[in-house]
Amino acid sequence: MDRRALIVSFLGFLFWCSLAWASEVQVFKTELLEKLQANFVKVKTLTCRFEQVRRVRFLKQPLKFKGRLWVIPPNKIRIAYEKPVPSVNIFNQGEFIRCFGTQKERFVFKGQPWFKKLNQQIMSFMTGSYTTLESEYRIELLSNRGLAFYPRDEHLAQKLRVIRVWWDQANFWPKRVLVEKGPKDYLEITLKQCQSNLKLEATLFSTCETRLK
Amino acid sequence: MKSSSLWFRWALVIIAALLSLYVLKDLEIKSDVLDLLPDQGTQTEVELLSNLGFTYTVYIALESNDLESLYQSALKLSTYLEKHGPFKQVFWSFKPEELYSFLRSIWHSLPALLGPEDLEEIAKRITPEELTKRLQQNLLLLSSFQGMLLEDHLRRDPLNFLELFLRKLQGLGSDLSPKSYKGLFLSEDGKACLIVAETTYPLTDSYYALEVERFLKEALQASLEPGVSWKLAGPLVHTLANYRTIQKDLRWLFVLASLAIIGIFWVFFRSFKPMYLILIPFLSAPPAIFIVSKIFGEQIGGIALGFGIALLGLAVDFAIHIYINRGHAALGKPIVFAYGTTVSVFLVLLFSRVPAHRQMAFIALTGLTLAFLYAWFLISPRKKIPEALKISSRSGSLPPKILILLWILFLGIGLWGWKHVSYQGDLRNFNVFDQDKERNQFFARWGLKEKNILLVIEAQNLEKALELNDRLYESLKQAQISQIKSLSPILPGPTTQKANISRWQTFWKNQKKDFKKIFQKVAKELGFTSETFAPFFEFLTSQPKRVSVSTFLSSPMGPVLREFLRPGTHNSTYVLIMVPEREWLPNLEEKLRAIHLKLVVISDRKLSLAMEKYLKHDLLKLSFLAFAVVAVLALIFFRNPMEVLAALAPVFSALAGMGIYTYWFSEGLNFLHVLMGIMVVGLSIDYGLFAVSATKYGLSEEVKKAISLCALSTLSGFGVLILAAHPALKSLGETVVAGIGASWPAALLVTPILVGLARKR
Repeated sequence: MDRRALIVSFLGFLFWCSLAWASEVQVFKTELLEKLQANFVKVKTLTCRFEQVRRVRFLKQPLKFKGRLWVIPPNKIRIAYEKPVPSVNIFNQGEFIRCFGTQKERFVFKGQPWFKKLNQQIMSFMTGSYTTLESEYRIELLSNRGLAFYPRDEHLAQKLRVIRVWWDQANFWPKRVLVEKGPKDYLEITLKQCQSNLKLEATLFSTCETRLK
Repeated sequence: MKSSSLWFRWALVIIAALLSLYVLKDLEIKSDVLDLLPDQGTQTEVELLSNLGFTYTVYIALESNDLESLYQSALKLSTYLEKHGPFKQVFWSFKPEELYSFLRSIWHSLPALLGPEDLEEIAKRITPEELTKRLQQNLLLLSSFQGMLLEDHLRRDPLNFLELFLRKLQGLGSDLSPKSYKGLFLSEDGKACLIVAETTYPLTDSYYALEVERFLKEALQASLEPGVSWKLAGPLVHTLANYRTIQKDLRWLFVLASLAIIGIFWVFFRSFKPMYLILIPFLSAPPAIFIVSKIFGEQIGGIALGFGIALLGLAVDFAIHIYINRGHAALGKPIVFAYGTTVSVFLVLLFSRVPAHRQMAFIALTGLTLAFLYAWFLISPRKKIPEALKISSRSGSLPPKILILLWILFLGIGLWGWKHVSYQGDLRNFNVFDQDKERNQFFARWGLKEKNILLVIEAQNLEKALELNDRLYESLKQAQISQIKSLSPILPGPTTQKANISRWQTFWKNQKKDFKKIFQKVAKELGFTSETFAPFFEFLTSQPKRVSVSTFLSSPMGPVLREFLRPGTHNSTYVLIMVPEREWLPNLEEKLRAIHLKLVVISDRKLSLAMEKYLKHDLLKLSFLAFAVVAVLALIFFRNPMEVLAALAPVFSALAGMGIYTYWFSEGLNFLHVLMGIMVVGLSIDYGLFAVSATKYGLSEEVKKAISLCALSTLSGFGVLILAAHPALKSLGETVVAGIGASWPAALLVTPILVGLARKR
């Protein structure tokens, strides 16, 4: 075999390997997405504690929050920030309620179309409906049980580079979310003490003032 | 009369008919339901609705459980309609991303769009406490996922001034379904999307409606994905439903009426030969239409034409009387008188305010005159002339006194019925299906449940239109009308924009120094760098720009705004304001019109009331005028009050019959009842006249036969319409059955008794 043929054969082998690897990755990604989604189908309610770090280029210090979240798939979420500034965000079907101090802001998603779209995406992230996100994001597999979501929309890509999500290997619940805008501009959420299928009060998703057990 | 001369006359009449048909082949027939509305009072509003494009709009709902199929179908269909068909504008999607970039583009014009009440709100937002609260909120928002995308917006507009504008924008579509998919307008159940397409043709015209439907079906077939179904709404649906029902009704009713007439003629004459009498009105129609087309120009309304030709059917009565009594020296007077009364009834219709009534009266007058002359010159005398009628005041088996008492009782009940009859001015009752119910069900799916009143002002140009719009909006606010849907808060006219800018500059001139100091202090305390809100202060110090109409019209909101700003006739512009019907106050229109001279107020209720008023005052006045003319003619002819009463007995009976029917069996008196009622009066007087003349002038024994034949041919020709599915045709049939059904027995039973009484005197 001459040298040229050897190089061509080697390149061919590399090409075959990359194809095989790509298809294996693709299969694995699809399997993971299906597994995550199937896992969420079993989840009737989900309650977690969370810690959040937000680094913004025009803020002197990173913002750190602690709080709790309650989810009833597919369209009810309550996020309660406890420290340092208490506030509540509720997504209940088509309605968004935001409470800050004594002030309560309630609006239906009409007239705020981009906001509505964004909130639908948040719902999909929180409730594991990743397949519905495929039209909006290019999804790539991360080495350590995670997925990276790259926005397909150019405008969104200018504002949001990538969203990385990692899962708990034992129960396939989200463990860590990193939303990156730039090197010094990101949002990191770490979820802890997640419990599924607890009985949740209906008022949790309609009023901010609900007393929590 | 020699038979060769008779053949020559027939040949002349047939040639005249054929020549007229040839000349009329290019006649333009305008088949618009608007012709049925009076000149003043309602037609301005309805014509305006047409000019505004409402009668040109088709609403298409696509339905599917799969949203992507729905989107693909809507995309393909809209592209197809825009490229190929008679559609000038198709509105099907609203892209939120585009709206956001539009809002960015008008950011520097925001001061021109914010009014005094907005500045009051801004003043509340810049107090130190509120400022702290809002910046804290911004901090929270920044920490969230949404906040990452709104970063630039938060730096530029930390106090959310844009929300003040968005609130106004929401007001325009506040009742719309909030559901959307890729910009589609989804129904509240999320299974249907709405496409609004404006055609270049008026869809109240059945000819164009059929064309548009044919094209739409082609487009739908070429565009829809499997599993996607469609439904239409708007004037197209109503025009086609009415057109098809009328066509179907007329097809089978024509056969039924023809068979009935042939049967009746056979029963009366035991021969088919006299059937040629029916030809006479048909032969008179083409020359009559030719003459009328010369008077009215090239365009004749389809409704007037159809109705006018139908009225010519009355001419059969002349032919029957001439055929039966030809040879009697005494025939001349009553037949001329019968012609005179019928013609005078139609002369009265010439004073109607409805253009279609005037045209149909002209066609009927010309045609009846021709048919009368034809009947006189074309009918050969019968070989055996029947004997003269013997005078008898006995009618049937009942004693005359009892018969007269029963008749008076019948008239009494009829009078009572007329006193309590209700008036139906709503033209929508002539629709083949419940228009309101259909429309409400269709639009309620998109959240459009409220009935609105439309306020329209016409202006020379766009800017002037916006100025007038601002003034009208202010007047409505002063009248404490709420939920006004208007462009004024979103896109004020140049004068208002200038005033807004000046107010904005004065406001910040008074606030700026203190405000900036406080703002920066609070921001620093919360951890923001000094540069964070530089874009906001740059905005406050910049010179605000006025915003042009074209910027708005070319924006993603353009199609919505165009609903309120429509091109008028002669390069003018119409500007619209919508007010919920329940908010409208009595007398408000008068007050507004005193200030806004060119204002036109359009509402279903108003149109209905105007038609009711027209029906009550004008059309009934015309009917009584027709009755008075007939009575005066009868008085001139008979010169004996009792004989006049005898001749009018069938007319009184017809009116009583119509009163009883309308009160007990119909939903109320509509304008078609009245219109047909005028014709029934004209026919009934003829029955009375011949019944009196038979005894007075010694016509043949068979005059009763002639009256019965005339009544039966009218009942079978027009009366069969009572079996029609279409409410308008049914109304016509009802009037004939009730009127002729009552006048015919009166002419045979009551009139002879009254003539007998006159003789005794």
